[in-house]
Amino acid sequence: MRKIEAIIKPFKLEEVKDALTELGVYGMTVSEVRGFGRQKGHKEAYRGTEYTIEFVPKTKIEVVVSDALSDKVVETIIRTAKTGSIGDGKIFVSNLEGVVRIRTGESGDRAL
Amino acid sequence: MMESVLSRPAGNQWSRDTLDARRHAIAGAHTRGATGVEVVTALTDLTDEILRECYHANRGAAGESDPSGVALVALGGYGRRELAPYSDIDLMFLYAPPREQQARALSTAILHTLWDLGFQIGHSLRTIADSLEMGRADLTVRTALMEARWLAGDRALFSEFTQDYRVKVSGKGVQEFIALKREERRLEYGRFGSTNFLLEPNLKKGRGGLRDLHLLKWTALARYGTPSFEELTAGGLLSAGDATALGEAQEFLWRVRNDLHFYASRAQDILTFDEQIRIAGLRGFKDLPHLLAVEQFMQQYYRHSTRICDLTARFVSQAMQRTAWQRLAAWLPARRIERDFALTRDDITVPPELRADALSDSGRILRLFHLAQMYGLNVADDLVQELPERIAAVPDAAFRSDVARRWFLAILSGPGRVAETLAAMHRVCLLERIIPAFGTVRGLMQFNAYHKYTVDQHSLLAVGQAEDLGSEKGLAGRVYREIRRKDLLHLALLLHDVGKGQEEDHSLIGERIALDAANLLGLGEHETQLLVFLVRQHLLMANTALRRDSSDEKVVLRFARQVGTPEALKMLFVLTAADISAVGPGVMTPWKDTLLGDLFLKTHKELAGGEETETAYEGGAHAQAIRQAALSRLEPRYPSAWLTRQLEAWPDHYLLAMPVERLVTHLEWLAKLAEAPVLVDAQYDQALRTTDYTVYTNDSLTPGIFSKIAGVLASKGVQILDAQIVTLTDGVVVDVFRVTDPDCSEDVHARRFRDISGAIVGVLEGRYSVEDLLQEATRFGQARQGVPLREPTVVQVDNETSDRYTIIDVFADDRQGLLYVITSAIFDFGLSVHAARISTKLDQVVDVFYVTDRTGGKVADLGRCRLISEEITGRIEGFLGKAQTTRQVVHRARTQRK
Repeated sequence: MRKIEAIIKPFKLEEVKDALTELGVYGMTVSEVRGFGRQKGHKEAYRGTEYTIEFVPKTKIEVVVSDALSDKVVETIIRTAKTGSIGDGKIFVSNLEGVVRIRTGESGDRAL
Repeated sequence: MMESVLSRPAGNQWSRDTLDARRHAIAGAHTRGATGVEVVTALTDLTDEILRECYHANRGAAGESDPSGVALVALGGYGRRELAPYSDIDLMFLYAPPREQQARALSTAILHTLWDLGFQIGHSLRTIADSLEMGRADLTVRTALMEARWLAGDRALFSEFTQDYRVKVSGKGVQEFIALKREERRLEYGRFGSTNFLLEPNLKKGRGGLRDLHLLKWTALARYGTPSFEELTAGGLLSAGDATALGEAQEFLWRVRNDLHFYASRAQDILTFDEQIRIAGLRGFKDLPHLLAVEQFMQQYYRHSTRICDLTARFVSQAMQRTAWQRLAAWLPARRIERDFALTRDDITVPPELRADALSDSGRILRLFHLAQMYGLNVADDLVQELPERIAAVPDAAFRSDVARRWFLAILSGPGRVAETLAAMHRVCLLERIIPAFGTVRGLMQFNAYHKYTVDQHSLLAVGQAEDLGSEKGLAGRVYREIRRKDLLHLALLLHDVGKGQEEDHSLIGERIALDAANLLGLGEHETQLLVFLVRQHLLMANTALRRDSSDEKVVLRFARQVGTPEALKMLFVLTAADISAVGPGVMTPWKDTLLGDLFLKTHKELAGGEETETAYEGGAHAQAIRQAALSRLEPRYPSAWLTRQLEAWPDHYLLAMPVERLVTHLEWLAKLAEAPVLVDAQYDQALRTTDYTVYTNDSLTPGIFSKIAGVLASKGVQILDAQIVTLTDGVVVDVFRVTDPDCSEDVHARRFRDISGAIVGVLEGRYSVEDLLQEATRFGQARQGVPLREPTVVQVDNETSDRYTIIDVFADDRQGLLYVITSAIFDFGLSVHAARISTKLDQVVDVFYVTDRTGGKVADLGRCRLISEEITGRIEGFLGKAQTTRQVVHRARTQRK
């Protein structure tokens, strides 16, 4: 099993979610996050005062999928979240030790 | 209905089975429609019966048959005879000191039996002296003991206890007791919901829940010696209407709570979404297209809980108004205002003898609330009690009077306590008399997991959130403080969701409601348009900021076009932030805040022309530093008196946006202006592939300088990207046009510069006209292909943003020569352009012109503003329309008046 975390532009969420659902990914955790990578935030001025946008708002999605599906999911996120401009985000993929569904106690792929 | 319930089981021995059977019978009666009172009474009777039998059966355990010296006492809610199916049972074993052994043995035997039966018991073993001591020391014990009720055993002992207790404990420090209980309750609100409009309320401990009724009863018991509504009414302490309302509310809560307990088979007090749906179905509510069954049911709940909340608060504070100070204060003459109103230290009221007269007048009623707001006082409780009836008697038309409208708008403007005052007006049903639509959302819930409050509460809360922003340091706070018509913003917040609970899209209904409200309040045309816009589009900014890419210019432009003016943008920004915050705690996150702020800043730049405009400057000190730097660079070459005069002529805000290099260049050219009436400087920027044409002249040379230059540039086939006009205080004009030159894209050579510069000089000196040049140009067949679809042209005349200038915003599709068309229209109206920002983004222009009328002031006349807007729109449409076939043009002109 793999855990895939993707940091994407907020307005891309719907598109990515739809594409992943189509792929057969049924569970997903979404959170509002702020941070910066190469895109270091920017400054905007309003009437002589500068407002620094230090951390750029992004959306983080986390999905856990079977190994077989992993590459497809990454590919799909890249395809749907890409605008080609700076700040498109990143995808982190990691191996996952285990998953347990709390209600039934099922574990492994069955708990996905 | 209860007979079967009350019949005894065979034998004296209780088992879980026999108990369950009896409980089941009561549950059956409940299902068949027994009232809440019937059920709690039956449950209390059942418990009494079990306890008495246990007591008598175990009397032997005490080692003797004589019960004297030991009594079994019910406390708390059980003492009040208000048991819900799975309520805890509070018991006290009261004993005379010599009987301790026996009492202990008896309590062990009884408690074991009860535990085995599955009861949740709270128990204590006390002498009278213990009870008095505990009652004095602990607030909860003190309260529970007030409601002590004899169950079995030594009656004389119990009587002795109640008498002692009344004299030595509960009769003392009543004032402090009530104050402490009220405070205790206030802390509880913090944990169980600070508003009664939670979507999943706790029926017992939440605000407006049973606990509030208990507070009322404890207060009544402590102060007047009885918790019964009937007796309080008989004693003139509670009006008959209020007693009925409280009785109905209590019945409602009891019945729902019984249902929750029976269904869950445990003490379930939270009315969850699942349970709401289930109970709404049981009650026979039916889904309507626009209002779910569950929403109708919850509307009932909110009505009852609001009543409990209000009546309890009022009752308790009346019961407390007995302090020495308050008795004294009552003798002091209250401050009188405008004859009808009396102000005391804590509240504002209308003396009883004046009420019939004053409270039949809508203007006076509103003024009452306005004064309460201004002085930070509450309206006196007894007056609040009277108001709904008085208000109901005032005819609708009276609320349309100018006086009533004026006070209402004054309340909306604030500053301060706007939301609080509106909420007070809502409680006495005044708000819905002024804005009838507001009545439809009273207690209307929004059945989704997102909102936490009912619509009316959410709206009032949103007004409060906006006010709170005013004291915050961030961008939204700053923008809120800058908004001049805060009354319109607050009104928009009040109305933004009022369209909910009906079939149609709530934004569309909201638009009509806003229009109605504007008419009822007699708002002007501009105010009406703004209000309608804000209500209709209250989701626009949230949707754009959170779901669109605001780094995409197209997104920002489209949004800017929809919003139209900086004023509307500011209001929409604050409205959006307040609306999101009012959905529930924690819904507004820094994440959302950043996205909204970013969109605001980008859009504001488009609408107000960004940093280079008149309104957007601060920091004269910085400008002075720039002057100094330029001075030191030029000093040796030019007379310093001339330099100083020239530098002072530049407005600060231009200096702030200008590199010193450029200022130096400008001054070098200005020095040469003595030799020729018009000078043109052309600078090619290799990196940008653009050319800056800077024209220096004097504004007395010829009228419409800006327009003429724009015309010349158009005739020469160059595209204007950006233009700036500076009119110095001594009348010298410096106009900078940044252009691209499609005819000479690779290399713009000196001949081209000379050609264009020469044409500009020629036109400004009056040797030939722009029209000549344009005609010449068309001979070369400058037919440019149009874009098949285009956005509608929008021209807005804005008198709000700047103190000195009228601002004309033009949104249109870009076309060669468009700027000339616009500027010549402006010129034909006799307006002079003081500053302009021409931005071409993609295939659209957003042009902002700061203009004054012939007199040098703003264009004050509304009719003239509209005329300007229509004329410019018309000319642009005429101009663009020739070039292509397009879809139907939507003409939308919005004018603003001062």
